[in-house]
Amino acid sequence: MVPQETEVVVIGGGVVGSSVAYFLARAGKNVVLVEKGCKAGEASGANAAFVWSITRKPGIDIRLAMHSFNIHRQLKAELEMDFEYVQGGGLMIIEDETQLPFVEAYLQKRSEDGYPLEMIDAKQVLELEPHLSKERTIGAVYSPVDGTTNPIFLVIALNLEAQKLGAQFFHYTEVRGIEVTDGKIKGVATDRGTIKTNTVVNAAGSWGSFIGDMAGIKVPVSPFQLAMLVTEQLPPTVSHAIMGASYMVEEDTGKEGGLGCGLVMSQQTAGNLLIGASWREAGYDKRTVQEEIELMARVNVRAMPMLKTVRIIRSYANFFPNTEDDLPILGKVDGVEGFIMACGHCGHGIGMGPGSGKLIQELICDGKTSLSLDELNLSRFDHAENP
Amino acid sequence: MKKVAIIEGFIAGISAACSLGYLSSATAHERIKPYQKKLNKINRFRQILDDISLPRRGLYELATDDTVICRCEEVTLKQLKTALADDTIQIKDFKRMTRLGMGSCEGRMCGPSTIEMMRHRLNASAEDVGCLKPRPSIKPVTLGVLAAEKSVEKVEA
Repeated sequence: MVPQETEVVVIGGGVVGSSVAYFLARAGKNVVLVEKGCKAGEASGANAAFVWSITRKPGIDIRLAMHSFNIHRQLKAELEMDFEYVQGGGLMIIEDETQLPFVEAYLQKRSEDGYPLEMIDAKQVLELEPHLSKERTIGAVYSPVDGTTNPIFLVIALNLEAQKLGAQFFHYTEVRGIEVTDGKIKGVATDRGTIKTNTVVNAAGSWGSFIGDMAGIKVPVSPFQLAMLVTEQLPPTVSHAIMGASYMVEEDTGKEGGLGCGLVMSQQTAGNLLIGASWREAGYDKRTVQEEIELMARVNVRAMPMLKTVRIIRSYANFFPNTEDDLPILGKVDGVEGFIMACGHCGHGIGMGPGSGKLIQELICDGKTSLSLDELNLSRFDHAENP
Repeated sequence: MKKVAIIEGFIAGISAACSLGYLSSATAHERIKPYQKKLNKINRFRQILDDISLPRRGLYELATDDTVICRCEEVTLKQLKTALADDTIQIKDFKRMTRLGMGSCEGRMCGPSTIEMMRHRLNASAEDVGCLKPRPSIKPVTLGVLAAEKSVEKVEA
């Protein structure tokens, strides 16, 4: 059974919820985390494993990413369990001349915002990643601060440390209702009992809209599928987080049921390459289809011909919580005191999750945050709901 | 196994032709018959093989702390015992902690025996322990094969 009372209930056991719970426990709060499935069971357990900033847009997006990178480094020093975070650098590979104007315009905007990125030529790219195609690689955008992690281990490491600090975790525990009286949070009902509390954090990712509904709040988050392939274990082959510049050009592919695909590649500490990625609107479906597996194989073999003889051992897919403006929803909610939003990370939850968790802890403990969350508030969607 | 796949392919093909209206169900039934007969014969033999190769409970008792229970990721029985002591009940949680079942065999070797050991040690049901979800590709396949343009090949019976 769950405890009868606590200061904060965190709903969702992914990287965001686990980060919130860890930082709250560290700040001395009584915190209970409830999760309907297993540890890192949804988007936090099946993603590109990137801690990535190159495609983070000027403004709050890149600021939150950079803030979060500091938190990743802090966690690496603080958490006992190694979660294989490697800041090996990131490369956005340009494979087509037509991508250049889009990339250059983007770099210009990032520079103006104070977060410049470096462009390197084909020779430099091939020195960094010698297996990339000599014929296709034109150049790349390079970021030394980007990298990869083991997202599942990150979640487990946060859970273990938070538990040591007194946080209580309840997996396989489903939230059934949220008690709101006179516009204030009073408790959370689960299938293992009701917890009295004044503060609830909605870190339910793609399920965040259902948790919102329970408190009478419309949360515009919807699931969007991302699929990847896992290769057999290889000796060191790829040392950077790699993405294709097609993401700069074909942002809308994958909508209306179509299949989008762009280059994504990295190597895990265990030696497996994680390659992909394809994306499509598929609701809450986690299955991969043959069409997307073949598409990902073609995109990756083209970019790195030596992969032809490398075997894949599985594919995986998950849905990430998508929002209209590609930004997460973080902060308090007007009209329901004690309801805190922390979901909608749009596939950037691994990179942005730890930073988001720290900011939510500051909001709960101090009432203010070291990075303003105003632009990420749920109220930004109000005009769309009530024109 | 290859024989079974080919025979099942013929049965599937005839059934597809029938459901699309190219064959009457009587004709389809007649054509499937010899394949079904061959399949039954193989399956009877397979059942015997399955029965005699099923690990008996006593076998798991022989494992010691150092016994490797997942060869691909070199997970030991000691790791399983530690996880069970920490309230792990489902195999998918154990997989997330240790990478058991995430190697080249994709859990085909370690999955069934680990589930048996977990059930036995926890006195739990198959539903409680759960299973490792198989995901395509079921067996390792090269990216070159997956990336190749498809061509139709004729298969002889």
